[in-house]
Amino acid sequence: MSNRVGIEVSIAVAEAVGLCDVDVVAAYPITPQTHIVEHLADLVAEGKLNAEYIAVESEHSAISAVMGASATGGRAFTATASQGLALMHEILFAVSSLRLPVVMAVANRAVSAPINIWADLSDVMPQRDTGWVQLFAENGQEAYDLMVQAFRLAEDHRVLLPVMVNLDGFTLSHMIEPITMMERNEVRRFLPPIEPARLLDPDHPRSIGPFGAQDVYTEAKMQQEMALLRSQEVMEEIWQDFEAQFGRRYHAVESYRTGDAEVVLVTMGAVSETARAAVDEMRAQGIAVGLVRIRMWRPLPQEELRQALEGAKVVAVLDRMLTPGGTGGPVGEALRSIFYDAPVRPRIYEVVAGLGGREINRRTFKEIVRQALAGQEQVRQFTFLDVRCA
Amino acid sequence: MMEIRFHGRGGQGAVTAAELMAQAAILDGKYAQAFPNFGPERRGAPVTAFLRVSDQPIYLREKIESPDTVVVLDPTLIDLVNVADGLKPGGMLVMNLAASGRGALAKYGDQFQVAVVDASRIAVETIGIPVTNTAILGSLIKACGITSLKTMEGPMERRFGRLAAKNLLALQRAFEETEVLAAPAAPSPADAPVVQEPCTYAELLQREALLVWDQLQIGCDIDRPGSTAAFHTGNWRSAGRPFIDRDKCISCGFCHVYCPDLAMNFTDDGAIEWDHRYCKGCGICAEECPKGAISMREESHEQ
Amino acid sequence: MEAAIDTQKISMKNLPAFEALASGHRACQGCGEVLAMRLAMKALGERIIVVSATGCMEVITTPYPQTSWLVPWMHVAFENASAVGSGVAGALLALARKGRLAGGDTKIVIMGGDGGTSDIGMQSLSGALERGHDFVYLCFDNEAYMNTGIQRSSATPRCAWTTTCPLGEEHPGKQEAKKDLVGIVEKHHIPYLATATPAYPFDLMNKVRRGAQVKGPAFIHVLAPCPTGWRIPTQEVIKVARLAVQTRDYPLYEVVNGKYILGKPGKNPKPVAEYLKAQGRFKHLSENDLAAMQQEVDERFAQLQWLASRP
Repeated sequence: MSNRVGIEVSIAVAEAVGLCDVDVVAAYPITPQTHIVEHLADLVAEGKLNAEYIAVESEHSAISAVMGASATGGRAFTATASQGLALMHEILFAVSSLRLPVVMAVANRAVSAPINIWADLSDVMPQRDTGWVQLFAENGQEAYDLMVQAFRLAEDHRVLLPVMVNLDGFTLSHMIEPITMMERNEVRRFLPPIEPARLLDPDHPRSIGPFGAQDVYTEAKMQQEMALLRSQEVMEEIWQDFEAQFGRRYHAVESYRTGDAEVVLVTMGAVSETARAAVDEMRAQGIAVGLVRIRMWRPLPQEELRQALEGAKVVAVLDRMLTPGGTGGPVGEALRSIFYDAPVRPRIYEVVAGLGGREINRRTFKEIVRQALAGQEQVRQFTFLDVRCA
Repeated sequence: MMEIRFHGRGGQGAVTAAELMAQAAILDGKYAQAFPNFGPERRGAPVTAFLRVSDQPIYLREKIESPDTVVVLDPTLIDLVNVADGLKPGGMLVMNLAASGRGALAKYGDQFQVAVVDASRIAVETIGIPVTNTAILGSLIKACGITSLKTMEGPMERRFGRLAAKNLLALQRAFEETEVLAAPAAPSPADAPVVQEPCTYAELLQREALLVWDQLQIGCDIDRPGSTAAFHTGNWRSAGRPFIDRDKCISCGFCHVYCPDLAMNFTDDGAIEWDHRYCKGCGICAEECPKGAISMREESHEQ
Repeated sequence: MEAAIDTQKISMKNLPAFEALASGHRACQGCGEVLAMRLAMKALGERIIVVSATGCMEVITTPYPQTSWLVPWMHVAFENASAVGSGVAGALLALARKGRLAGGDTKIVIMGGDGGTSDIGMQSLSGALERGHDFVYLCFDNEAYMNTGIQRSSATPRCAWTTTCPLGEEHPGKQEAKKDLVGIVEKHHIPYLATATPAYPFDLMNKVRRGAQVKGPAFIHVLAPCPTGWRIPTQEVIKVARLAVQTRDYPLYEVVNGKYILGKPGKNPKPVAEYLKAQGRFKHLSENDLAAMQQEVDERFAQLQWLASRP
């Protein structure tokens, strides 16, 4: 195919954002996200993208500026990682509560200390409850496609919520790999021009972000929650349209060789490809193993997850973040909640691994499956898989 | 347990009054809670504060809906808010009222007990300013007991330092000068108001709801520009209103320019008109009028 | 395209009838800040977008479901008004270029109190000033965190009482000098900078209007007395603000493209004690304190005169 090129995933992500005709990009450099916004700055500087690039003085201001831009009726984008996402934390709640359809790419990276620039999910998982739609890409093509889908989802008037597209730092963001690029006119056909639901306009004055006391706060949260739940159906609709136009099919939850699987691995992000390869090797050895990958993390596709996992004897979860002092990682906790009331519950064997960019490879998944099948005891609700012990 | 609601204005010390009384009750070995009605209202606005006192430990963190006693610090509030709202039948109203204003009590006398004192005058005579939050406590003690004048000394001294003596004098004088009017005849069971208990929690919520969740604007926006105009801040006034001497007024407009509340405005004829709905009674217009045409004076509360 | 801002000089005779704020707001009796805001808005007119930091002015004007605002208004958080405003500026430029902007020219007005400007909002303000977006920043300085109940900010003047610099035996009032916010803003070399107070309403309105006419950032610092926090009678708010100017504690001036222009200084300044003694927050000051404060005021004013004397 003529549009299939070898390209760094960050550059491809930036190209996708450019194809979406964004009006404002506000960003601050942080490894491993920087290549995305550098390339957007290039596109603007070269006149290939008719947008304002605001080189803000912090991530806090980056997310604040895209809010202002979005409230003025512009299509707005930012990107960040790790400390930058943590610095945005306060404002992330405001973006979703004020129902502003901004899109953000997050190149997932560990959070300090010790300072560490490599991939895990300890930056994004603490943002779980900020009210954003949260999607996870497995490879470059997905990261690229999800950017375009994200704007359409965010701006849909049934949704009007910010969307976060996560891609693992370095192992995905900095990878050169084949990606089928879209044409500008194709993207325009898929993604209509933004139609703001409401905006800051002197001809129609409104107050955005008022003081809401006890008598309205709960109702405001309910309204927001219903929109977030609704976003899953709308996303499914968008994925159907995307398949019709581009031929690539997406689902909130994807299963691989789970049909007769005794143990099913659950993963998110770029490690899922490695997990798939490990599943194939284990299957060749006669182990009944499958894989379920979570692409949509918020809203959590609970029914899809339950259906995908209900036949398994053991569900082996990889969490790339530790919930300190808690009951395991966020994915493990979510699965336990989903199955607590189910008549038949699979055993949930949870592993925390791959922190701060520690290598996750096929051996990792084989070891997880070995332990899970061996019925290894877990002292708390999880095993700290790759920690060195005396 | 006794539950008490205080009515005052932002800045008048209603919260302090509840707090001092709670401290005294605790010194007596009782259990007590004092808490404000947390909200955005500012200085001058009608506010409430709450007090619970009991011989037993108190395991409640909820608002007081049906107080046993209501204390009114500021006589101008009586016409503005329903101070008896939720007050139990036969409950006690402790009122700061001048002798001339006692006609206002007529509407309460047959349902509630009333204790009345001219706390404003006592405060001016003892403390020097019409801040009634300590005087009214003397009246509350006279009407309801709760604690003793003696126990109040400690909390008052800690709170007011060298000004404690004057405040204690106010307390003492108010205690002595409070008249507890004859209790109403006990209501016969037939006359007792029927308390409508809400059937369900959902019904109760509906009574309070402004809007149900799916009627809210996206993101809780407000799309009615200037809609605070429906909220009349005129009831924040307590220390008089501006009167314009038409013989002196030259319609220069300075009162209009300097008014934080847009309550001094030009009419179509170019005259200055006072807007009673919004004037909070700050007095800037009177202070700044270059012709001395505006004076702040007591207003009658009937208007 | 029609300009957003009227260029006419404002006096009592041609006072704009326009009000961006409705009555019924919940500001305290005699609030100097809401008055300053009202006057500034009169000067700006209706072709504006207001971005507000968290603070008294935000809370008292938008108690859901009511708003006092008759112009588009947005609030996000305490420290980021300048960044939100930067995004509004970016979108206005991009949308205008793409022909997607309905209506005429629009001016961006960003506002915050002293805390939202010189403390928690300092970084986002500095970023926005440096990037040079086209906006007017209004800082309503009442010299403490009044919205949370009178706590010390970097803008609280030396010796003043607040609840977090109380009158203790060891440390009576604030020990440190007021941060030179205007000086910091000046070092960003923006085209227009001015000081104002509602005691001089036409001066304030004309400065706001002048600032709004320049292309790029303009900064108006407004001393806005808070009767609740300054411990002054409500009717004396204007008198006290006027004394701040008359005693040279708060001189009125402009910095236009780097050139300092001092307002009429008045030949015989009143002693600063007259300003300080009018306020309960300074009532503990001794004669020695007052003399030291006088010296500080004189030094600051001499410095300002020197700056204004430069070509």
